[in-house]
Amino acid sequence: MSEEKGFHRTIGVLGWLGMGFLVFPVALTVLVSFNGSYFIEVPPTSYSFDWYKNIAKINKIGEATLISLGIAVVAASLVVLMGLGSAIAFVRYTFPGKAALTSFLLSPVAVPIVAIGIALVQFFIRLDIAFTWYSLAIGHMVLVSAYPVRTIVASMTLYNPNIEEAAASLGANRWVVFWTVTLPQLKPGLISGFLFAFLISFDNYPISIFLVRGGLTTMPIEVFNYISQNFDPTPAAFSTIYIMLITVIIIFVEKRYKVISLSIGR
Amino acid sequence: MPFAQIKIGMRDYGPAFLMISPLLFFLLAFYIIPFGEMFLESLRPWANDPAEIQAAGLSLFQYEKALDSAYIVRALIRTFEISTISVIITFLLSYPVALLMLWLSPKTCSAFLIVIFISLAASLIVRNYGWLVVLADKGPINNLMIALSIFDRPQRLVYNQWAIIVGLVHYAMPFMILPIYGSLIRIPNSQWEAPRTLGAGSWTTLRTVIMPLSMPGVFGGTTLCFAVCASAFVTPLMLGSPSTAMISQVAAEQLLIQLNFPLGSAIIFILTTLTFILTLVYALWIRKVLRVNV
Amino acid sequence: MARLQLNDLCFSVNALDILRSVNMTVDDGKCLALLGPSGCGKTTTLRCIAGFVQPTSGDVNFDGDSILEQPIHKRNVGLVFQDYALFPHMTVEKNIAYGLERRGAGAVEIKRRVKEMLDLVQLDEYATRIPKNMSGGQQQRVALARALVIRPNVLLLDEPLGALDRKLRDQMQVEMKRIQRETGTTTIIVTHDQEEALSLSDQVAVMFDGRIQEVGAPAELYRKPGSRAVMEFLGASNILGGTVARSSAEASLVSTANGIEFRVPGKQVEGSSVEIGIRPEHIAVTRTKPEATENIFSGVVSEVVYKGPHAELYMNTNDRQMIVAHKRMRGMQSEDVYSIGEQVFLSVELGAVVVFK
Repeated sequence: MSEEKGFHRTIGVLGWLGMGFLVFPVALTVLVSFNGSYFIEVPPTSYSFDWYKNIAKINKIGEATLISLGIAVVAASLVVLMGLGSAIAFVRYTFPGKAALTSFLLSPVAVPIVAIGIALVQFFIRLDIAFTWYSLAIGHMVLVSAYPVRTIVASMTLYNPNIEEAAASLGANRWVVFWTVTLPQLKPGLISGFLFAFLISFDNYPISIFLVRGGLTTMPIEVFNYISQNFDPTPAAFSTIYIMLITVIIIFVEKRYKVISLSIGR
Repeated sequence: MPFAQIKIGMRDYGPAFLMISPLLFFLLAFYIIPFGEMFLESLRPWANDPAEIQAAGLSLFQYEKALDSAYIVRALIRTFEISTISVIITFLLSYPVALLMLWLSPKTCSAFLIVIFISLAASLIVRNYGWLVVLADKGPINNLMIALSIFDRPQRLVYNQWAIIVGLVHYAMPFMILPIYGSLIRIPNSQWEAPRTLGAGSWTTLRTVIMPLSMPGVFGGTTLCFAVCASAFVTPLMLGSPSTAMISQVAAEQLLIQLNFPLGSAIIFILTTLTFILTLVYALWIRKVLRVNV
Repeated sequence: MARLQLNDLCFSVNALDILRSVNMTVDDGKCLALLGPSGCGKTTTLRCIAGFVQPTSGDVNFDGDSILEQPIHKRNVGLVFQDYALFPHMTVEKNIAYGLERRGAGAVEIKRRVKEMLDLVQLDEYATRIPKNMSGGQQQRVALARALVIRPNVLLLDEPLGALDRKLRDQMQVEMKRIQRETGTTTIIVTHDQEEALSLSDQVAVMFDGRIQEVGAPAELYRKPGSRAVMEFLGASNILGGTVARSSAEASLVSTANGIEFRVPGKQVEGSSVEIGIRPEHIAVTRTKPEATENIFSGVVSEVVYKGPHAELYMNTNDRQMIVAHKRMRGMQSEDVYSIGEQVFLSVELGAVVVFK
């Protein structure tokens, strides 16, 4: 018995250490956001809320955040809509070249993110629409297009397809079945797809950096600029707020829609 | 959605095609075509005069130039070195976490998953900034090392290769943990118990039965992590220095600063091709040497 | 091979008593079936022997030596899991060789013994196959071979025939008895299926609620069970309540609720309440009143269920109690076919009646 216990204990220690590694920088950032001093120091010698007030001083932060928010919402919504049709087609239908098409539609995740930015900036310049709001949105959409497809497909495999046929046999036509039976089942997939797409777009730097210029800027770009030019813990305050917000959102969505299981499936 | 029709006539591809078309055309227009054009661009030589560029036609000039440049080749090698080291460390850290998750109560396991998700979703800039904090001159690591008398002065821990590796490992861990966990959780309990009845201790069970059975997840995780590390941009940008530039940074530099679009494009394609080849070799190696099906 | 003994085995978890003083002995080379409904504790008992569960008190020993202190991988117990648990990433050969490799056997010896086993379970040509491509019955034979090749002290089988279809089950019953006999391994089979228990074992131990209720040879237990619960669990039965009217040394007369009097074997306390059990196949059904037999009573056929080798006849007797009889279908004779509403005569021999207090 003790050999087994030793095994469990060792793995347990290593596992918790691994988890600790994951959490450590974030925990420390939260701590540092309350630093009294100008420079980052742990353990802190004094405490203050100054850095939270200083967030507003980050150049154009309000404007940039709004732009990022808008782009993320638009991009996530559109890719969920486009992805819905594709996901349903992949799971319920057969057609030639399905495997190849699937790989193709999911490939943007495997491609270097800078590549997407570089390819698109050249393309947009050629089309003379570069550095506009909507070209930025398009860039983000390309990046996140694969996520809703994956999550919706995953949620489709979780329910019994026969319920659609049962509904049809009870007198519902195609559209009614779709609205009343299929769509509710897809809720977790739609929500988690939207969430992923939103968060990845909101945070994106490598694509945005190529597609913005002049008045157009995004939150990650401005925060990054601040970090490269200043050494105070203002970004720590910003990070703390950011982490708190997404923690709340993720916990809420998980409790309500159980979306995490969708990423492990397959 | 004519489900009845799928079973009767496979000929009717209309609806399926209709449903895929929005995404398909979108990606065609804004993904395939731009990449295609970028590829063409990479085949152009570079000169100050646009007319001269047009007249020159297509060639592998940029690719030769890239592979000739010691700077670029060094960046490529450095990128793959850093990526390989990062993937190995990530694997070593992640496998125990995935194993531990198997044994935790549902509530704790849920909490773990949520933390992993937040890690995935949290801004990369926020996370790397966290490492700037941890590795800061007056940060916890330095202070701890001084307290333990390992350092006598705060050392500059950031803006070098190892800071990048730490940042990449942190970035890649969720991508490694989740597939491995997904694989492990599919293994029936009896596969843990049967080897024990046949005389295998816990470690032998892990080595001879569990690890081979988790290979699909390990393979998925490691290839994903490698691709992600090799194409990393933000992490080396924040945690590294110009002398530790990884290949994505080199490509970006060519584009944004040098405005050398053809060369930048060529570099990107070299990176993508090499990553693809390496992944293929890796898959074949796993198949042959470990006799496992992926 | 060893003599297995369970002494006062108790196991509780979360204030739930799963095993309440289990006592059991299996002699060297014999096969015992541990039979009981779901939740009775039989699987827990199995896992105690294997080592996956540590009992809260009591002892498990082989040939008198307690094995409770030994870790699982040192107990030398062969376990065939319900899902067979074959290693999917290994060939049949490597699966069987696994236990031998753990014991440090040399390559030559491993090869020899694996071949021996493959012969025993008749899977010689399947050595290099992988489990995925094999049928359920074949997989089970590999699992058996894997467990037996290490020459275990005890072989434990968890619901061995459960996953197989009817036909395969009948085949495997014969196969398994042969293999068990040829290797002479002390075996315990855990099952909820009484047919499995009766057909595969030398002894059946019936288990309810964490305790062994009765142990006996299959035929004995089936024909003369000690309690109503055991009788009902081991097969279809008719149970009637009544009081003892008269009794003598060899037989007694029991009066059931509405007047049918049964002559039952053995001495009973006059006036006491008892229950009588009769197996459906022991009830003779005739259209005319039979002569020179005991326990004749009449009834009306209320339902007929055709089962192939026999038909189940449900009948109402005087006290409106449902009696089930099995009418063997001999040939195609139409006189064997009864219809609903027919008046019939039922008779039961003295020796076929069991009495419970």
